[in-house]
Amino acid sequence: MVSMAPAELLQQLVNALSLGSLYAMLALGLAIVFGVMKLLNFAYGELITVCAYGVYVMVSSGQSFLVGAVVGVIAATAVSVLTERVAFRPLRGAPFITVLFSSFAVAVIIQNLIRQLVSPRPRGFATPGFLDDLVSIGGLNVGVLPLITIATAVTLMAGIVALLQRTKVGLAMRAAAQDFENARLMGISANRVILLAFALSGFVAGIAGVLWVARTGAATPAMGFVPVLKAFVATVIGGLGNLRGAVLGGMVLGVVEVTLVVFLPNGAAPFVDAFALLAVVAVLYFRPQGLIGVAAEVRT
Amino acid sequence: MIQRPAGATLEARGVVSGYGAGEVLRGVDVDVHAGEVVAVLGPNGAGKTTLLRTLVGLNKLRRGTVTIDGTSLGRTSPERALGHGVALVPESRGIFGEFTVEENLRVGGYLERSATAVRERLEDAFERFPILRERRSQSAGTLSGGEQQQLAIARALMSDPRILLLDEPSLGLAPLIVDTVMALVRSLADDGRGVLLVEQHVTQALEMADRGFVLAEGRVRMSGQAAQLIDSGLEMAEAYLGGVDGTG
Repeated sequence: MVSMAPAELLQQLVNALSLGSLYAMLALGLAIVFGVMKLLNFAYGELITVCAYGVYVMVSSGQSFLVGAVVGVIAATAVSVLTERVAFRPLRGAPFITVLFSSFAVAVIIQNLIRQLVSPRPRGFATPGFLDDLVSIGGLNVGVLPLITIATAVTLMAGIVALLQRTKVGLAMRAAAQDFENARLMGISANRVILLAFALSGFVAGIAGVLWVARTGAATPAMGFVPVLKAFVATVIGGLGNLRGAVLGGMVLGVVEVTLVVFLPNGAAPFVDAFALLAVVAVLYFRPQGLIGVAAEVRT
Repeated sequence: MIQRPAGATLEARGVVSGYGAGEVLRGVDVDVHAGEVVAVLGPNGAGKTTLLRTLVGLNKLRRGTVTIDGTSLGRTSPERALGHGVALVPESRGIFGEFTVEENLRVGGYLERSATAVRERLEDAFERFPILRERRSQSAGTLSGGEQQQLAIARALMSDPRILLLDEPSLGLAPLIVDTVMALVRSLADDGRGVLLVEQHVTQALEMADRGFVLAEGRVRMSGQAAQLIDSGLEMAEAYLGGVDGTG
Protein backbone atom coordinates (compact mmCIF):
# COMPACT_ATOMS: atom_id res chain seq x y z
CA MET A 1 0.00 0.00 0.00
CA VAL A 2 1.18 3.49 -0.78
CA SER A 3 0.51 6.07 1.89
CA MET A 4 -0.93 9.29 0.55
CA ALA A 5 -1.42 12.82 1.80
CA PRO A 6 -5.06 13.95 1.99
CA ALA A 7 -4.48 16.60 -0.68
CA GLU A 8 -3.06 14.07 -3.10
CA LEU A 9 -5.87 11.69 -2.30
CA LEU A 10 -8.41 14.38 -3.21
CA GLN A 11 -6.58 15.08 -6.45
CA GLN A 12 -6.66 11.41 -7.35
CA LEU A 13 -10.35 11.41 -6.51
CA VAL A 14 -10.88 14.20 -9.05
CA ASN A 15 -8.88 12.16 -11.58
CA ALA A 16 -11.00 9.10 -10.85
CA LEU A 17 -14.22 11.07 -11.20
CA SER A 18 -12.95 12.59 -14.43
CA LEU A 19 -12.02 9.27 -16.00
CA GLY A 20 -15.23 7.77 -14.64
CA SER A 21 -17.24 10.61 -16.21
CA LEU A 22 -15.59 9.99 -19.56
CA TYR A 23 -16.34 6.26 -19.38
CA ALA A 24 -19.88 7.01 -18.20
CA MET A 25 -20.49 9.16 -21.29
CA LEU A 26 -19.03 6.49 -23.57
CA ALA A 27 -21.21 3.85 -21.94
CA LEU A 28 -24.30 6.06 -22.13
CA GLY A 29 -24.02 6.41 -25.89
CA LEU A 30 -23.70 2.66 -26.33
CA ALA A 31 -26.57 1.94 -23.93
CA ILE A 32 -28.99 4.35 -25.65
CA VAL A 33 -28.90 2.32 -28.87
CA PHE A 34 -28.89 -1.00 -27.02
CA GLY A 35 -31.94 0.05 -25.00
CA VAL A 36 -34.05 0.83 -28.04
CA MET A 37 -32.73 -1.70 -30.56
CA LYS A 38 -31.14 -4.42 -28.43
CA LEU A 39 -28.13 -3.89 -30.69
CA LEU A 40 -24.55 -3.89 -29.47
CA ASN A 41 -23.13 -1.40 -31.92
CA PHE A 42 -19.45 -2.23 -32.18
CA ALA A 43 -19.05 0.54 -34.73
CA TYR A 44 -19.63 2.91 -31.80
CA GLY A 45 -15.87 3.22 -31.27
CA GLU A 46 -15.50 4.45 -34.84
CA LEU A 47 -17.76 7.39 -33.98
CA ILE A 48 -15.04 8.48 -31.57
CA THR A 49 -12.51 7.99 -34.39
CA VAL A 50 -14.62 10.04 -36.81
CA CYS A 51 -14.91 12.77 -34.19
CA ALA A 52 -11.15 12.72 -33.62
CA TYR A 53 -10.44 13.10 -37.34
CA GLY A 54 -13.02 15.89 -37.52
CA VAL A 55 -11.05 17.72 -34.84
CA TYR A 56 -7.74 16.89 -36.56
CA VAL A 57 -8.86 18.15 -39.97
CA MET A 58 -10.12 21.42 -38.53
CA VAL A 59 -7.18 22.07 -36.21
CA SER A 60 -4.60 21.19 -38.89
CA SER A 61 -6.29 23.57 -41.32
CA GLY A 62 -5.81 26.41 -38.88
CA GLN A 63 -9.16 26.43 -37.10
CA SER A 64 -9.42 26.57 -33.34
CA PHE A 65 -9.85 23.44 -31.24
CA LEU A 66 -13.36 24.61 -30.35
CA VAL A 67 -14.37 24.73 -34.03
CA GLY A 68 -12.78 21.29 -34.41
CA ALA A 69 -14.78 20.03 -31.45
CA VAL A 70 -18.07 21.27 -32.92
CA VAL A 71 -17.24 19.73 -36.31
CA GLY A 72 -16.19 16.49 -34.59
CA VAL A 73 -19.47 16.20 -32.68
CA ILE A 74 -21.51 16.96 -35.81
CA ALA A 75 -19.49 14.39 -37.80
CA ALA A 76 -19.96 11.67 -35.17
CA THR A 77 -23.71 12.35 -35.02
CA ALA A 78 -24.04 12.35 -38.80
CA VAL A 79 -22.06 9.13 -39.24
CA SER A 80 -24.10 7.44 -36.49
CA VAL A 81 -27.35 8.38 -38.27
CA LEU A 82 -25.89 7.31 -41.61
CA THR A 83 -24.82 3.88 -40.34
CA GLU A 84 -28.35 3.29 -38.99
CA ARG A 85 -29.77 4.13 -42.40
CA VAL A 86 -27.27 2.10 -44.42
CA ALA A 87 -26.18 -0.80 -42.21
CA PHE A 88 -28.94 -1.42 -39.67
CA ARG A 89 -32.29 -0.36 -41.12
CA PRO A 90 -32.14 -2.91 -43.98
CA LEU A 91 -31.55 -5.58 -41.32
CA ARG A 92 -34.48 -4.62 -39.11
CA GLY A 93 -35.90 -7.79 -37.62
CA ALA A 94 -32.81 -9.84 -38.53
CA PRO A 95 -31.21 -12.05 -35.86
CA PHE A 96 -29.03 -10.35 -33.23
CA ILE A 97 -25.86 -11.93 -34.58
CA THR A 98 -26.48 -10.65 -38.15
CA VAL A 99 -26.83 -7.09 -36.94
CA LEU A 100 -23.78 -7.50 -34.70
CA PHE A 101 -21.71 -8.55 -37.73
CA SER A 102 -23.06 -5.60 -39.66
CA SER A 103 -21.76 -3.33 -36.89
CA PHE A 104 -18.32 -4.99 -37.14
CA ALA A 105 -18.39 -4.41 -40.89
CA VAL A 106 -19.17 -0.73 -40.40
CA ALA A 107 -16.23 -0.47 -37.98
CA VAL A 108 -13.81 -2.08 -40.45
CA ILE A 109 -15.07 0.03 -43.37
CA ILE A 110 -14.72 3.30 -41.45
CA GLN A 111 -11.21 2.36 -40.25
CA ASN A 112 -10.09 1.50 -43.78
CA LEU A 113 -11.68 4.58 -45.30
CA ILE A 114 -9.66 6.69 -42.88
CA ARG A 115 -6.48 4.71 -43.72
CA GLN A 116 -7.07 5.38 -47.43
CA LEU A 117 -8.34 8.95 -47.25
CA VAL A 118 -6.12 10.35 -44.49
CA SER A 119 -3.26 8.08 -43.48
CA PRO A 120 -2.65 4.77 -41.76
CA ARG A 121 -0.30 6.62 -39.41
CA PRO A 122 -1.30 8.50 -36.28
CA ARG A 123 -2.04 12.18 -36.71
CA GLY A 124 -1.16 14.45 -33.84
CA PHE A 125 -2.59 17.90 -33.27
CA ALA A 126 -2.27 20.64 -30.70
CA THR A 127 -4.81 20.81 -27.91
CA PRO A 128 -5.42 24.11 -26.13
CA GLY A 129 -2.70 24.76 -23.58
CA PHE A 130 -5.08 25.81 -20.82
CA LEU A 131 -6.45 22.25 -20.66
CA ASP A 132 -3.19 21.21 -19.00
CA ASP A 133 -3.32 24.06 -16.49
CA LEU A 134 -4.04 23.55 -12.85
CA VAL A 135 -6.53 25.62 -10.92
CA SER A 136 -6.42 26.00 -7.19
CA ILE A 137 -9.65 25.14 -5.42
CA GLY A 138 -9.43 25.49 -1.65
CA GLY A 139 -5.69 24.89 -1.69
CA LEU A 140 -6.11 21.91 -3.96
CA ASN A 141 -4.54 21.90 -7.41
CA VAL A 142 -6.93 20.42 -9.92
CA GLY A 143 -6.42 19.99 -13.66
CA VAL A 144 -8.64 22.03 -15.97
CA LEU A 145 -9.37 19.11 -18.31
CA PRO A 146 -10.60 16.79 -15.51
CA LEU A 147 -12.88 19.58 -14.29
CA ILE A 148 -14.23 20.24 -17.79
CA THR A 149 -14.78 16.50 -18.26
CA ILE A 150 -16.77 16.19 -15.03
CA ALA A 151 -18.80 19.33 -15.74
CA THR A 152 -19.54 18.21 -19.30
CA ALA A 153 -20.63 14.76 -18.14
CA VAL A 154 -22.95 16.21 -15.49
CA THR A 155 -24.48 18.67 -17.99
CA LEU A 156 -24.85 16.04 -20.70
CA MET A 157 -26.49 13.55 -18.37
CA ALA A 158 -28.84 16.16 -16.95
CA GLY A 159 -29.79 17.06 -20.51
CA ILE A 160 -30.45 13.45 -21.46
CA VAL A 161 -32.51 12.85 -18.31
CA ALA A 162 -34.56 15.96 -19.10
CA LEU A 163 -35.03 14.84 -22.70
CA LEU A 164 -36.16 11.36 -21.69
CA GLN A 165 -38.31 12.38 -18.73
CA ARG A 166 -39.85 15.65 -19.80
CA THR A 167 -40.37 15.53 -23.53
CA LYS A 168 -42.83 13.65 -25.69
CA VAL A 169 -40.05 12.23 -27.81
CA GLY A 170 -38.31 11.04 -24.63
CA LEU A 171 -41.49 9.28 -23.55
CA ALA A 172 -41.61 7.62 -26.97
CA MET A 173 -38.00 6.44 -26.64
CA ARG A 174 -38.59 5.02 -23.19
CA ALA A 175 -41.74 3.28 -24.41
CA ALA A 176 -39.89 1.80 -27.39
CA ALA A 177 -37.13 0.58 -25.09
CA GLN A 178 -39.65 -1.23 -22.90
CA ASP A 179 -41.72 -2.84 -25.62
CA PHE A 180 -41.13 -1.94 -29.21
CA GLU A 181 -44.29 -3.48 -30.64
CA ASN A 182 -46.56 -1.84 -28.11
CA ALA A 183 -44.84 1.47 -28.69
CA ARG A 184 -45.78 1.15 -32.37
CA LEU A 185 -49.38 0.51 -31.34
CA MET A 186 -49.29 3.91 -29.63
CA GLY A 187 -48.48 5.48 -33.01
CA ILE A 188 -44.77 5.82 -32.27
CA SER A 189 -42.82 5.53 -35.50
CA ALA A 190 -40.16 2.83 -35.26
CA ASN A 191 -37.93 4.59 -37.79
CA ARG A 192 -38.09 7.88 -35.98
CA VAL A 193 -37.31 6.51 -32.54
CA ILE A 194 -34.40 4.41 -33.81
CA LEU A 195 -33.00 7.29 -35.84
CA LEU A 196 -33.22 9.52 -32.80
CA ALA A 197 -31.48 6.91 -30.64
CA PHE A 198 -28.62 6.75 -33.14
CA ALA A 199 -28.43 10.54 -33.38
CA LEU A 200 -28.30 10.84 -29.60
CA SER A 201 -25.76 8.03 -29.37
CA GLY A 202 -23.58 9.72 -32.01
CA PHE A 203 -23.88 13.06 -30.25
CA VAL A 204 -22.80 11.55 -26.92
CA ALA A 205 -19.96 9.68 -28.67
CA GLY A 206 -18.89 12.98 -30.25
CA ILE A 207 -18.79 14.81 -26.92
CA ALA A 208 -16.89 11.94 -25.30
CA GLY A 209 -14.64 11.82 -28.37
CA VAL A 210 -13.67 15.48 -28.02
CA LEU A 211 -12.75 14.93 -24.37
CA TRP A 212 -10.88 11.76 -25.34
CA VAL A 213 -8.71 13.52 -27.95
CA ALA A 214 -8.22 16.45 -25.59
CA ARG A 215 -6.38 13.93 -23.38
CA THR A 216 -4.42 12.24 -26.16
CA GLY A 217 -4.02 14.95 -28.82
CA ALA A 218 -3.90 12.33 -31.56
CA ALA A 219 -6.07 10.50 -34.04
CA THR A 220 -5.37 7.00 -35.36
CA PRO A 221 -7.55 4.79 -37.59
CA ALA A 222 -7.98 2.08 -34.94
CA MET A 223 -8.29 4.40 -31.96
CA GLY A 224 -11.99 3.54 -31.48
CA PHE A 225 -11.24 0.11 -30.06
CA VAL A 226 -10.27 1.19 -26.55
CA PRO A 227 -13.24 3.53 -26.00
CA VAL A 228 -15.79 1.00 -27.30
CA LEU A 229 -14.22 -1.65 -25.07
CA LYS A 230 -14.43 0.67 -22.05
CA ALA A 231 -18.03 1.54 -22.94
CA PHE A 232 -18.92 -2.12 -23.33
CA VAL A 233 -17.29 -3.11 -20.04
CA ALA A 234 -19.00 -0.22 -18.25
CA THR A 235 -22.45 -1.10 -19.60
CA VAL A 236 -21.95 -4.73 -18.64
CA ILE A 237 -20.93 -3.71 -15.11
CA GLY A 238 -24.00 -1.49 -14.79
CA GLY A 239 -26.47 -3.79 -16.51
CA LEU A 240 -26.94 -3.78 -20.28
CA GLY A 241 -29.36 -1.27 -21.73
CA ASN A 242 -29.95 0.48 -18.46
CA LEU A 243 -28.86 4.11 -18.70
CA ARG A 244 -28.38 4.62 -14.99
CA GLY A 245 -26.42 1.39 -14.91
CA ALA A 246 -24.24 2.54 -17.81
CA VAL A 247 -23.35 5.76 -15.99
CA LEU A 248 -22.67 3.92 -12.74
CA GLY A 249 -20.65 1.25 -14.56
CA GLY A 250 -18.53 3.94 -16.21
CA MET A 251 -17.86 5.65 -12.90
CA VAL A 252 -16.96 2.34 -11.24
CA LEU A 253 -14.57 1.44 -14.07
CA GLY A 254 -12.90 4.85 -13.94
CA VAL A 255 -12.46 4.74 -10.18
CA VAL A 256 -11.11 1.18 -10.28
CA GLU A 257 -8.57 2.09 -12.97
CA VAL A 258 -7.30 5.20 -11.22
CA THR A 259 -7.13 3.34 -7.91
CA LEU A 260 -5.08 0.61 -9.54
CA VAL A 261 -2.73 3.12 -11.15
CA VAL A 262 -2.20 4.79 -7.78
CA PHE A 263 -1.78 1.72 -5.65
CA LEU A 264 -0.18 -0.83 -7.93
CA PRO A 265 3.62 -0.93 -7.84
CA ASN A 266 5.26 0.74 -10.87
CA GLY A 267 6.20 -2.56 -12.53
CA ALA A 268 2.56 -3.62 -12.61
CA ALA A 269 1.39 -0.50 -14.45
CA PRO A 270 1.02 -2.22 -17.87
CA PHE A 271 -1.42 -4.64 -16.27
CA VAL A 272 -3.92 -2.01 -15.11
CA ASP A 273 -6.44 -3.01 -17.79
CA ALA A 274 -6.06 -6.68 -16.91
CA PHE A 275 -6.68 -5.97 -13.23
CA ALA A 276 -9.61 -3.71 -14.09
CA LEU A 277 -11.17 -6.47 -16.19
CA LEU A 278 -10.56 -8.87 -13.32
CA ALA A 279 -12.54 -6.52 -11.09
CA VAL A 280 -15.33 -6.62 -13.69
CA VAL A 281 -15.30 -10.41 -13.62
CA ALA A 282 -15.62 -10.20 -9.85
CA VAL A 283 -18.62 -7.86 -10.11
CA LEU A 284 -20.32 -10.14 -12.62
CA TYR A 285 -19.59 -13.21 -10.54
CA PHE A 286 -21.70 -11.81 -7.73
CA ARG A 287 -24.18 -9.85 -9.87
CA PRO A 288 -24.41 -11.43 -13.33
CA GLN A 289 -27.18 -9.00 -14.28
CA GLY A 290 -24.90 -6.02 -13.58
CA LEU A 291 -25.17 -3.51 -10.77
CA ILE A 292 -28.57 -2.11 -11.79
CA GLY A 293 -29.60 -4.68 -14.32
CA VAL A 294 -32.90 -6.42 -14.75
CA ALA A 295 -34.37 -6.36 -18.22
CA ALA A 296 -32.76 -4.33 -20.95
CA GLU A 297 -34.56 -1.06 -20.74
CA VAL A 298 -33.86 2.59 -21.14
CA ARG A 299 -34.31 3.85 -17.62
CA THR A 300 -33.04 7.03 -16.18
CA MET B 1 -55.87 18.26 -32.72
CA ILE B 2 -56.91 15.27 -34.82
CA GLN B 3 -60.29 16.07 -36.36
CA ARG B 4 -62.29 13.11 -37.52
CA PRO B 5 -65.85 12.58 -38.67
CA ALA B 6 -68.03 11.08 -35.95
CA GLY B 7 -68.47 7.58 -37.31
CA ALA B 8 -66.42 5.30 -39.49
CA THR B 9 -66.56 1.99 -41.26
CA LEU B 10 -63.71 -0.47 -41.39
CA GLU B 11 -63.91 -2.87 -44.32
CA ALA B 12 -61.57 -5.75 -44.92
CA ARG B 13 -61.92 -7.97 -47.98
CA GLY B 14 -60.18 -11.24 -48.75
CA VAL B 15 -57.57 -10.82 -46.03
CA VAL B 16 -54.73 -13.32 -46.36
CA SER B 17 -51.97 -13.32 -43.76
CA GLY B 18 -49.72 -15.67 -41.87
CA TYR B 19 -46.35 -16.40 -40.36
CA GLY B 20 -43.36 -17.64 -42.37
CA ALA B 21 -44.50 -20.04 -45.06
CA GLY B 22 -47.81 -20.77 -43.30
CA GLU B 23 -51.12 -19.06 -44.01
CA VAL B 24 -53.28 -18.37 -40.99
CA LEU B 25 -55.97 -16.23 -42.64
CA ARG B 26 -57.22 -17.53 -45.97
CA GLY B 27 -59.47 -14.79 -47.29
CA VAL B 28 -61.42 -13.16 -44.47
CA ASP B 29 -64.07 -10.45 -44.95
CA VAL B 30 -64.92 -8.14 -42.05
CA ASP B 31 -67.04 -5.01 -41.69
CA VAL B 32 -67.20 -2.89 -38.58
CA HIS B 33 -69.48 0.15 -38.51
CA ALA B 34 -69.63 3.03 -36.08
CA GLY B 35 -71.69 2.29 -33.01
CA GLU B 36 -71.63 -1.49 -33.21
CA VAL B 37 -69.77 -4.29 -31.52
CA VAL B 38 -68.77 -7.15 -33.80
CA ALA B 39 -67.64 -10.28 -31.99
CA VAL B 40 -64.98 -12.52 -33.52
CA LEU B 41 -65.38 -16.04 -32.19
CA GLY B 42 -63.60 -19.26 -32.91
CA PRO B 43 -61.36 -21.99 -31.59
CA ASN B 44 -57.75 -21.45 -30.55
CA GLY B 45 -55.51 -21.14 -33.56
CA ALA B 46 -58.35 -20.00 -35.83
CA GLY B 47 -56.57 -16.76 -36.64
CA LYS B 48 -58.51 -14.29 -34.49
CA THR B 49 -55.45 -12.53 -33.09
CA THR B 50 -53.73 -12.65 -36.49
CA LEU B 51 -56.78 -10.93 -37.99
CA LEU B 52 -56.59 -8.02 -35.55
CA ARG B 53 -52.82 -7.76 -35.95
CA THR B 54 -53.11 -7.76 -39.74
CA LEU B 55 -55.78 -5.05 -39.73
CA VAL B 56 -53.36 -2.65 -38.01
CA GLY B 57 -50.28 -3.79 -39.92
CA LEU B 58 -48.42 -5.66 -37.16
CA ASN B 59 -48.71 -8.68 -39.45
CA LYS B 60 -48.24 -8.24 -43.16
CA LEU B 61 -51.33 -8.20 -45.35
CA ARG B 62 -50.38 -10.72 -48.04
CA ARG B 63 -53.52 -10.33 -50.12
CA GLY B 64 -56.78 -8.49 -49.80
CA THR B 65 -57.71 -4.94 -48.89
CA VAL B 66 -58.37 -2.98 -45.71
CA THR B 67 -60.14 0.35 -45.98
CA ILE B 68 -61.49 2.87 -43.52
CA ASP B 69 -64.31 4.99 -44.92
CA GLY B 70 -63.14 3.98 -48.38
CA THR B 71 -59.52 5.04 -47.82
CA SER B 72 -57.17 2.13 -48.32
CA LEU B 73 -54.85 1.38 -45.46
CA GLY B 74 -52.89 -0.81 -47.86
CA ARG B 75 -49.98 -2.61 -46.28
CA THR B 76 -50.35 -0.44 -43.28
CA SER B 77 -48.24 0.10 -40.20
CA PRO B 78 -49.63 0.50 -36.67
CA GLU B 79 -48.66 4.19 -36.81
CA ARG B 80 -50.62 4.70 -40.01
CA ALA B 81 -53.62 2.68 -38.85
CA LEU B 82 -53.79 4.71 -35.65
CA GLY B 83 -53.47 7.89 -37.67
CA HIS B 84 -56.63 6.77 -39.49
CA GLY B 85 -58.37 6.07 -36.21
CA VAL B 86 -57.90 2.30 -35.90
CA ALA B 87 -56.47 1.26 -32.50
CA LEU B 88 -55.60 -2.21 -31.25
CA VAL B 89 -55.58 -3.27 -27.60
CA PRO B 90 -53.50 -6.46 -27.77
CA GLU B 91 -54.15 -9.65 -25.85
CA SER B 92 -51.16 -8.99 -23.60
CA ARG B 93 -52.72 -5.54 -22.92
CA GLY B 94 -49.40 -3.92 -23.79
CA ILE B 95 -49.07 -2.03 -20.54
CA PHE B 96 -45.71 -0.34 -20.06
CA GLY B 97 -44.98 -1.76 -16.64
CA GLU B 98 -42.16 0.66 -15.92
CA PHE B 99 -44.34 3.68 -16.60
CA THR B 100 -46.78 5.22 -14.18
CA VAL B 101 -50.47 4.99 -15.00
CA GLU B 102 -50.41 8.59 -16.19
CA GLU B 103 -47.36 8.03 -18.41
CA ASN B 104 -49.13 5.06 -19.99
CA LEU B 105 -52.10 7.27 -20.75
CA ARG B 106 -49.93 10.06 -22.09
CA VAL B 107 -48.07 7.75 -24.43
CA GLY B 108 -51.50 6.63 -25.69
CA GLY B 109 -52.07 10.22 -26.80
CA TYR B 110 -48.72 10.33 -28.60
CA LEU B 111 -50.18 11.14 -32.03
CA GLU B 112 -52.28 13.97 -30.66
CA ARG B 113 -50.49 17.24 -31.32
CA SER B 114 -52.60 19.44 -29.10
CA ALA B 115 -51.51 19.41 -25.46
CA THR B 116 -54.95 20.72 -24.50
CA ALA B 117 -56.64 17.76 -26.19
CA VAL B 118 -54.32 15.35 -24.35
CA ARG B 119 -55.16 17.02 -21.04
CA GLU B 120 -58.87 16.85 -21.75
CA ARG B 121 -58.73 13.20 -22.70
CA LEU B 122 -56.67 12.43 -19.62
CA GLU B 123 -59.41 14.05 -17.56
CA ASP B 124 -62.05 12.05 -19.47
CA ALA B 125 -60.11 8.86 -18.79
CA PHE B 126 -59.92 9.61 -15.07
CA GLU B 127 -63.63 10.38 -15.00
CA ARG B 128 -64.51 7.18 -16.77
CA PHE B 129 -62.05 5.07 -14.78
CA PRO B 130 -61.82 6.60 -11.30
CA ILE B 131 -59.46 3.85 -10.15
CA LEU B 132 -56.90 5.12 -12.66
CA ARG B 133 -57.05 8.58 -11.11
CA GLU B 134 -56.36 7.01 -7.72
CA ARG B 135 -53.43 5.08 -9.15
CA ARG B 136 -52.21 7.80 -11.51
CA SER B 137 -48.67 8.04 -10.07
CA GLN B 138 -48.37 4.33 -9.38
CA SER B 139 -46.21 2.08 -11.54
CA ALA B 140 -48.57 0.40 -14.02
CA GLY B 141 -46.87 -2.95 -13.52
CA THR B 142 -48.28 -3.10 -9.99
CA LEU B 143 -51.95 -2.84 -11.09
CA SER B 144 -54.29 -5.84 -10.87
CA GLY B 145 -55.37 -7.60 -14.07
CA GLY B 146 -58.71 -5.81 -14.17
CA GLU B 147 -57.10 -2.44 -13.54
CA GLN B 148 -54.54 -3.10 -16.26
CA GLN B 149 -57.33 -3.91 -18.70
CA GLN B 150 -59.07 -0.66 -17.83
CA LEU B 151 -55.77 1.14 -18.34
CA ALA B 152 -55.22 -0.57 -21.70
CA ILE B 153 -58.65 0.53 -22.94
CA ALA B 154 -58.34 4.00 -21.42
CA ARG B 155 -54.98 4.36 -23.11
CA ALA B 156 -56.39 3.31 -26.49
CA LEU B 157 -59.08 5.98 -26.06
CA MET B 158 -56.39 8.64 -25.63
CA SER B 159 -55.94 8.65 -29.41
CA ASP B 160 -59.73 9.07 -29.83
CA PRO B 161 -59.99 6.09 -32.21
CA ARG B 162 -63.01 5.53 -34.43
CA ILE B 163 -62.50 1.79 -34.59
CA LEU B 164 -61.22 -0.20 -31.61
CA LEU B 165 -59.89 -3.72 -31.99
CA LEU B 166 -59.94 -5.55 -28.66
CA ASP B 167 -58.14 -8.86 -28.30
CA GLU B 168 -59.59 -10.90 -25.43
CA PRO B 169 -60.09 -8.07 -22.97
CA SER B 170 -61.53 -10.52 -20.42
CA LEU B 171 -58.55 -12.87 -20.48
CA GLY B 172 -57.47 -13.88 -17.00
CA LEU B 173 -60.09 -11.75 -15.25
CA ALA B 174 -62.48 -12.86 -12.48
CA PRO B 175 -66.07 -13.51 -13.73
CA LEU B 176 -67.46 -10.44 -11.98
CA ILE B 177 -64.87 -8.23 -13.63
CA VAL B 178 -65.57 -9.84 -17.03
CA ASP B 179 -69.13 -8.43 -16.79
CA THR B 180 -67.72 -4.98 -16.06
CA VAL B 181 -65.36 -5.19 -19.02
CA MET B 182 -68.20 -6.31 -21.33
CA ALA B 183 -70.33 -3.38 -20.18
CA LEU B 184 -67.39 -1.10 -20.84
CA VAL B 185 -66.96 -2.50 -24.36
CA ARG B 186 -70.68 -1.90 -25.03
CA SER B 187 -70.40 1.68 -23.81
CA LEU B 188 -67.53 2.31 -26.25
CA ALA B 189 -69.80 1.40 -29.16
CA ASP B 190 -72.65 3.43 -27.68
CA ASP B 191 -70.28 6.41 -27.81
CA GLY B 192 -70.21 5.99 -31.59
CA ARG B 193 -67.06 3.93 -32.02
CA GLY B 194 -66.92 0.70 -33.94
CA VAL B 195 -65.60 -2.24 -31.89
CA LEU B 196 -64.18 -5.49 -33.21
CA LEU B 197 -63.98 -7.84 -30.24
CA VAL B 198 -62.12 -11.14 -30.05
CA GLU B 199 -63.52 -13.08 -27.11
CA GLN B 200 -63.43 -16.54 -25.57
CA HIS B 201 -66.45 -15.83 -23.36
CA VAL B 202 -68.80 -16.54 -26.26
CA THR B 203 -72.16 -16.11 -24.55
CA GLN B 204 -71.26 -12.94 -22.72
CA ALA B 205 -69.73 -11.49 -25.88
CA LEU B 206 -72.78 -12.27 -28.02
CA GLU B 207 -75.22 -10.97 -25.42
CA MET B 208 -73.55 -7.60 -25.67
CA ALA B 209 -72.50 -7.57 -29.36
CA ASP B 210 -74.59 -6.52 -32.35
CA ARG B 211 -73.13 -8.96 -34.81
CA GLY B 212 -70.62 -11.72 -34.77
CA PHE B 213 -68.81 -14.26 -36.85
CA VAL B 214 -67.04 -17.52 -36.26
CA LEU B 215 -63.54 -17.89 -37.63
CA ALA B 216 -62.08 -21.36 -38.08
CA GLU B 217 -59.07 -22.51 -40.05
CA GLY B 218 -58.55 -18.99 -41.29
CA ARG B 219 -62.01 -18.62 -42.85
CA VAL B 220 -65.34 -17.16 -41.75
CA ARG B 221 -67.53 -20.21 -41.02
CA MET B 222 -70.62 -18.43 -39.85
CA SER B 223 -71.79 -14.89 -39.43
CA GLY B 224 -74.93 -13.02 -38.49
CA GLN B 225 -76.72 -10.94 -35.90
CA ALA B 226 -75.63 -11.75 -32.36
CA ALA B 227 -79.12 -12.95 -31.42
CA GLN B 228 -79.19 -15.32 -34.40
CA LEU B 229 -75.84 -16.74 -33.46
CA ILE B 230 -77.02 -17.38 -29.90
CA ASP B 231 -80.13 -19.15 -31.25
CA SER B 232 -78.05 -21.32 -33.52
CA GLY B 233 -75.97 -22.69 -30.69
CA LEU B 234 -75.64 -26.15 -32.22
CA GLU B 235 -74.53 -24.91 -35.61
CA MET B 236 -72.04 -22.69 -33.91
CA ALA B 237 -70.62 -25.59 -31.98
CA GLU B 238 -70.18 -27.40 -35.30
CA ALA B 239 -68.46 -24.42 -36.80
CA TYR B 240 -66.14 -24.44 -33.83
CA LEU B 241 -65.48 -28.15 -34.16
CA GLY B 242 -64.50 -27.52 -37.73
CA GLY B 243 -61.59 -25.56 -36.30
CA VAL B 244 -57.98 -26.54 -36.08
CA ASP B 245 -58.09 -28.22 -32.73
CA GLY B 246 -61.80 -28.15 -32.03
CA THR B 247 -61.37 -26.40 -28.71
CA GLY B 248 -62.68 -23.08 -27.52
